[in-house]
Amino acid sequence: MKRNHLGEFEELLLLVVASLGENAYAVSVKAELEEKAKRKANISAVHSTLYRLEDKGLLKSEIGGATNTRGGKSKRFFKVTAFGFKTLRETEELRNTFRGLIPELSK
Amino acid sequence: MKNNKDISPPKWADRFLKFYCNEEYAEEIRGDLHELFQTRMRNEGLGSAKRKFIWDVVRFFRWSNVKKTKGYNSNNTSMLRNYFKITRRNLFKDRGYSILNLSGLYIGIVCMVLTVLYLNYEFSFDKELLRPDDTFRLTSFNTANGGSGNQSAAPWGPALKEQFPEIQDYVRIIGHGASVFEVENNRFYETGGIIADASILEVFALKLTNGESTSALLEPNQVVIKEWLAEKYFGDENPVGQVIKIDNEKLYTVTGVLANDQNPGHLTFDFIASFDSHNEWFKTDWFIQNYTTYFLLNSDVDVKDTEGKLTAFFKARFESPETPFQREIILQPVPDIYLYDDTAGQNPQIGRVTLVGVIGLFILVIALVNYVNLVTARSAKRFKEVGVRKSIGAAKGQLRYQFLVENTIVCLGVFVLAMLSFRLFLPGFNRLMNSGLEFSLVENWPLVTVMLAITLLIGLLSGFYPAFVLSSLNPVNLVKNNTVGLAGKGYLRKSLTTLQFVISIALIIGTGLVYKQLQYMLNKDIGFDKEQVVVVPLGSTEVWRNKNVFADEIRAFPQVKDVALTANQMGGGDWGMPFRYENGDRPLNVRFMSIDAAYGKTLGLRLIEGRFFQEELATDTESSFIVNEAFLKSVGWETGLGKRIEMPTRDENNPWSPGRIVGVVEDFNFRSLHNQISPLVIANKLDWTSTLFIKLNPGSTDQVLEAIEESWKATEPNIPFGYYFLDQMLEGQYEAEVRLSKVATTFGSIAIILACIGLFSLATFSAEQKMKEVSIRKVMGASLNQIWLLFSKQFIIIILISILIAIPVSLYYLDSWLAEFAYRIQIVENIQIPVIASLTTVVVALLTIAIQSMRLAKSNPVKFLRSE
Repeated sequence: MKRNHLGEFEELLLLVVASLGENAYAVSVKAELEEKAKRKANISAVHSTLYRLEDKGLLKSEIGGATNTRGGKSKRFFKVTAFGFKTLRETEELRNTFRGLIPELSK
Repeated sequence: MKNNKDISPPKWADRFLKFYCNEEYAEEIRGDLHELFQTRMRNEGLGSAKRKFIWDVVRFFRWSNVKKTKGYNSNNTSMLRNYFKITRRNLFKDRGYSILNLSGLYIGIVCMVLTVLYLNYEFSFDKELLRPDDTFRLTSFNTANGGSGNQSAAPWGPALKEQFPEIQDYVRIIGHGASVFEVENNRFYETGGIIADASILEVFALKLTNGESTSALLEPNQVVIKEWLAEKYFGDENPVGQVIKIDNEKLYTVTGVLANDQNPGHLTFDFIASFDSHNEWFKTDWFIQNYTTYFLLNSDVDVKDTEGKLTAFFKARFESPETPFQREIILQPVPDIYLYDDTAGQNPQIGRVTLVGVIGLFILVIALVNYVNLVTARSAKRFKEVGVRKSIGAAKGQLRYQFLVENTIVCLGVFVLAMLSFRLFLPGFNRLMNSGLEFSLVENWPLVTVMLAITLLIGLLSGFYPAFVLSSLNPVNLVKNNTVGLAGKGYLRKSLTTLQFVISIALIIGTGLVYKQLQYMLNKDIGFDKEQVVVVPLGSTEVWRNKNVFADEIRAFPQVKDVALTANQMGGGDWGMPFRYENGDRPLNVRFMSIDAAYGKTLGLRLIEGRFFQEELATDTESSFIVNEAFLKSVGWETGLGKRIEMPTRDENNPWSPGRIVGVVEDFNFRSLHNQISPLVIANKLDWTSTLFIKLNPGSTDQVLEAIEESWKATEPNIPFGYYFLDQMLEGQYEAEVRLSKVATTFGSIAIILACIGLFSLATFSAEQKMKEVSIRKVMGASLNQIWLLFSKQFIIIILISILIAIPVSLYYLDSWLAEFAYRIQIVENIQIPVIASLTTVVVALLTIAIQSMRLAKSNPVKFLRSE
């Protein structure tokens, strides 16, 4: 059976997009990543990953919100799909399953 | 507004992004980057923002973001992919033909690669000197007899440098002669040495692996040796500072080691001894020309002008009322010596090099013609494909493009294969050419580039014909497989095949005549008996000091027929000397030899009149001479007996020593058959003799040689016994011709094989074309023979035309090649060779097409007619 495995960076971005709600587009995701996770990521890497997640069906996107600072260019807003949430949940569950088996980690 | 421009991101980067970026994403990516730019500008300043913008643009340049080819573009690539596919299918559909065709092309390309490699090597000689354009060899041209020479006397170099500011430096070189090297108990004969001025290292840019090139050869008895010699004598020890004992008397100090791998040059040597290591009497003589002198001129010097000045200098120095100075000094550029040198009377190497180049080109042309022929022949099978392509809208240009791409790909494939595998042929080629070519793809990349360019050209040329002919045909005829349109277009193929056979037949005729000339030279009566003669050069050994005793000792051996002493080895060991003669107003330049009484008998020379020298006659050594017929002819005498001639001496008060002619010997070829027999004077000066000719009785040669070696060792224990057989040495003079004969044979065979491949393919093509015609004829009752004749006729015509062209062309060139020989075969007397070559070609050609003609003649007509 084919499963969609989430990479670490992919999972992180998925979480960031989910947390940003309506305002998730590449620049804001990058800013959030830098602020909350203290991680530097090149904008191009963020883009590629977001597109990849969209291809996998974990994200969906729509165009909108052109502003002056953007030179009149519109943004692509991302949203986590139901399948995306499901995958996040499954990942979490899988982790917890293993955590439960490790005495040092389970309280 | 201006302000606004300044704070926008770099325009070019933005434009680049827009250029490459997939349109689907371009909008948002550019938007994001602009937004980041604004933020950064506020936080980090304009410079940093711009830099980061550019960096981001670069980072976005990744496969997933790049514009995918679409519309026209994507069609283009998929068509290209289709061409590849069709190419592959066509190649595999008729494997036999493909293999035949590609192997022909492969042979052609391998030959081309080898030829290019060889030419590159031949043209690389003496190109890496200190200043190649300013380095010259001192040569002179004799205005009286048109001859030229490259020898000079030792004092000339320093004197000329003193006199002329144009000359920056000079290098004098003389052979070292065979010497015994001794280090501890290692003793070997070393023959490949030279003695030269210290400047040789710098002027000829010789590579030293050890030692200082500026100081290595300044003192007497210093020597620099090649790496392999150093290893031979000193192993792993540092050779610099070591001492070598030379000929059991002198001690040489090694001051440097020459890299084994020097740039190719006309000078070859295993070691170089410093100039003052030798002290021959002629070292200070202004007249004895035993050296070669090279000059390094200053960069801005006019060479013609300098030649004039040098000529004037020598004229002033040498001219006397009796001997007018009839020479012109020529400064021969050193980089030209290897290929173009004709100063010592030899044929310049460039002739041989050109020949190889031309033959290589021929082979390539043949292979190329084959390929084109086969491709065009096969492309007839693709009428339908072309027709369909045209009907669904392929433009002419696209079809041309297809065929060009296809052929270029195939050629490139074969080229890669040839590149990977031709090293297999390199050793054989090196043996054939007696060359030491090496090749590495990496080091020789400029050559590889050249070859690649040639291959691409071949690909384009071979794709040219099908590309242009097929693309211009009417698609309706093509789809109907109506080949009428192409019937008259076989002319190109036929004339190309004719060209192949012209070349092949010419090469076969050439091979035959070169072989004949070779045999002629090897078997010609050269006026003396060269069989069973052992030559022992005595050098400056103990044996030489006791040469008469030694000769008598050898003469006593039962297997030895005769022993003679001479000053001159055969085949070019003679000297030049002016002789005055009775009633002659000016001395005649003759060749000169000095022999003992037994010489004539030992070599079987034939007298015309008079006698040979006699041991009992003491006067013979003083004042008796023998001359040859050519001498009589050139002074115009009927008889020579008793005539007075005078030989030059070194005594200034008494410069001519008179004598009488006691015998006239029949002309014999004391030099190779490239040369006419010159006037020759033979004297009986025993002091000058230095070589032993031993005539053996037939039979146990090895035993005699052992016995002679024993005697040698008894007299001279320190220097090894060295000898050669006269007949073998004389045959060695024709090595160039032997090589040429081998080269012609090899390439001739390749050419004929390739031509046959071509013929075979043409026959196949023609057979397919004629299937219907032949079937109808068979139905009408044509016999096997009639059909065979009908089919073969066209090829026989091709061969006949080739023969008619090849014979006169090749005979014309061979005649001019033969003109180089003083003694040559006449083509009229060897008319059987072109005849045999022609017959062979006809037979081979008929055999080649036999398979196809039989298939045709025996085919079942129903098979080909039922579809009508």
